[in-house]
Amino acid sequence: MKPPVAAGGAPHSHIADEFHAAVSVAAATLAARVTAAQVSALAVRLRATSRETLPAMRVAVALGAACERWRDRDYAQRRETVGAIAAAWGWTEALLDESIDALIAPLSRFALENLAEQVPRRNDLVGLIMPGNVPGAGIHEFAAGLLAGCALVVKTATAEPFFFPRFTQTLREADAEVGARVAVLNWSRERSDITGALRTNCNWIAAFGNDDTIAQLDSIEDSAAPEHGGAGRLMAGFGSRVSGAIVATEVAAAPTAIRVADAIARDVSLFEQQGCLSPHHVFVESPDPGAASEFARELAAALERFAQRVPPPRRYGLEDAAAVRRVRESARWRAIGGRAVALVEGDGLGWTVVSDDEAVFTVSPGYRTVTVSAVANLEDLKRRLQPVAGRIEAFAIAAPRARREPLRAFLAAMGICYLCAPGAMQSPPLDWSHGGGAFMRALAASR
Amino acid sequence: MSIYDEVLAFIKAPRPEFFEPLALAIFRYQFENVPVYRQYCVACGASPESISMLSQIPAASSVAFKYAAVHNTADGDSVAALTFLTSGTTKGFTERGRHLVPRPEVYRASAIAHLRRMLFPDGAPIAMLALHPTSDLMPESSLSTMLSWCIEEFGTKTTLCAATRDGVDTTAAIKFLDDAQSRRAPVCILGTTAASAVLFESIDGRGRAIRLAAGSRLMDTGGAKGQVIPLTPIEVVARAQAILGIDPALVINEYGMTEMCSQLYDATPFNCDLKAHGEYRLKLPPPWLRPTVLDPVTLKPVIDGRVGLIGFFDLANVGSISALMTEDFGFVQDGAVAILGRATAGGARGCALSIDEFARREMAAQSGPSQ
Repeated sequence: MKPPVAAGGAPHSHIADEFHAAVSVAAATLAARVTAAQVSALAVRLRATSRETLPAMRVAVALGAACERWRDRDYAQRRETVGAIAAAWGWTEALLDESIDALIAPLSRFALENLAEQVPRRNDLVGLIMPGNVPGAGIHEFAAGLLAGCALVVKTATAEPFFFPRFTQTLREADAEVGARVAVLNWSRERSDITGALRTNCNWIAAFGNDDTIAQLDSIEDSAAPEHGGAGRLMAGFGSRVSGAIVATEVAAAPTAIRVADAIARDVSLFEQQGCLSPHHVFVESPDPGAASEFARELAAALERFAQRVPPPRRYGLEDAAAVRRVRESARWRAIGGRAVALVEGDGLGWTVVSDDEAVFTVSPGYRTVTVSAVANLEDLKRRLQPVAGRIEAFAIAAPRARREPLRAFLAAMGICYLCAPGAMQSPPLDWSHGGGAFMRALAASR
Repeated sequence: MSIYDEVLAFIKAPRPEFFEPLALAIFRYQFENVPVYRQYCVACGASPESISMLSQIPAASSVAFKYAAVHNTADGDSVAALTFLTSGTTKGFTERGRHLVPRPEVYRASAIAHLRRMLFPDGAPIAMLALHPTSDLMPESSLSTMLSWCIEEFGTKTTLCAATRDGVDTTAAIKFLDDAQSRRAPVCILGTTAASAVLFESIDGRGRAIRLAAGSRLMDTGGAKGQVIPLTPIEVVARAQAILGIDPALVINEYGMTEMCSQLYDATPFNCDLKAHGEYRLKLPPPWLRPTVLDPVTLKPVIDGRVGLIGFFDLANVGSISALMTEDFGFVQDGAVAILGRATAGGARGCALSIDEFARREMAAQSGPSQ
């Protein structure tokens, strides 16, 4: 769930009424009281459509056209989506627009056609259980599944029932036959009967969410009919992940530092740092600890510049605000207590930079809250990453050309899926090996 | 009259109209004598010259006691000073908070006066069972110290401390309670919520409940901390009634913290006329502890009834920092406080790793006493 409590919410509820009202109205509108029987009936229809093979290139063209419309910030479906999320979550429309731009950027017609040539062809019915933390998260898998020839039942999160219904509507407008291969539904995760029906009727499932969500899903019994082949198994579960960044000493000082800091500030700020691609901790590779604190100041200035253009949330969930507050107060008092920690903070809870040279990878509460530390060398970096080993989704590398490849090889050897330049973290390519490539493996394995 | 004597006088005969002037005097004293607090205030742009109202006094996060030396240069080295450590349930021993109390008699006066009002308004001495180590066993625990004072002040000669640092001796505790039942003598049970849960489990396990005499009571504190399967406040009341026969009005939860010399207790028909607020029991502070609720974004006080981070101005904390911001959510209604939970982790994060998930994996299973 997204933030359940608006700061200063009424005591009788402990849950922000306006948040629930907004989400439940939207969910009700879009879901119209889904039942297990409806899911089963829908699955029969979708399965029938998926048996009629559509050329992958036609799907690519349709998806490309839909994305092209969504690139226009004035496009009605997009405006409605942005407005609904802004109202429900308190994020600013400017932030949502910037984030959706980044999300859609890799889905060019060229990239879609390219993926269409690579993706294994299938006629499965796939269930996609989407996360509630980032609008549009899962769109890569949505596209890959359709390009493969699959039909999709998309279950949106209760907190984010906004993006996929409207994007799918655009897809239907671009190509009715392609759009007819997708159904977008919403029901509560507590309705295990409906989730069970999804599993029963789909060949396989891909799910995004935290580890608890994935474990809960895994525990729901399915009684898939054997003729469906895939038996409704959870073939791709994208659990809880984090991301970070490394800045080589050569680019950590002026004048390049400003450009690097601006790019990392964008990576941190998009989606209010709620996604698995959002960097939580920036490591500055330098024997001089001063280099990291200097870069932390540059990053703080960059976050402020970004916040001027793309303002932080108008309101926060109480839990989220308190979590950011906790980071700030801990850093503030560690600094007062004489530790080598510095806190730089924006107005309100707009952004927060903690410079702490001794810190191992520090998970952030989000909302533009980032830790910056110096690392002496790559072995030191490896030690600092140990607490989140195996859970790192992406890392931005800021380094001179000659140093990028060794850094890339080092981080790839740690199992990090997506390595990119600063500024590109929220726009992974279509063939991004999300979660270690679980979805593409599932497409291939279920042949 | 020293500032400590002024506070003691207030505790002895509270006069609400004197609270704010005394709070401002304490602020000036602490600004002068507690260097880390002065440093914080200066960073906030606050000084004795700029502060003229209680609500303007900067509240320091309770983590201040964990990360900085909250030392009183005027009185911190007094021979009577006591130092209390937080339980360190989440960060291990090295990160334990440290509260130096230069004049423990103020702490004692605060604790005893409010215990008298909230837990012992009937006045008669009572047999005491401690489910948490007393101060001779755990001198660094503020709860231990408070329990020892409580036993000295309100106990009969029949007392038992059935706990060590290693846990609760449930066999001894149950024997004590069985004996009290036989004698039809009321008992006051004191300890953490976790220890109470252990006691309930043990009595449940033997398959025979205890019916304590009327007037028996339970004071638990610490909430979910240290419990494998946390009991909610409602469950504690229900279990104490079902397993020990204690009247729900005499099952009284304490809210306190190592960093603060005053405590709050559940308001029940046993100790006041205040009604519960829906599902929440309200907690009553003593007159020398002024609760407030802060918006975590702005750190400004919110109006009564709105939810935020709970803060306090504790006159009894005169020797360290009186204006505190806790990490607990709640609201204030007519001067009473509802505690709704602790803020640590932020909301759920979908596919992104949350602090809470990370902490659960990294630091599971650490537990300890509450104060």
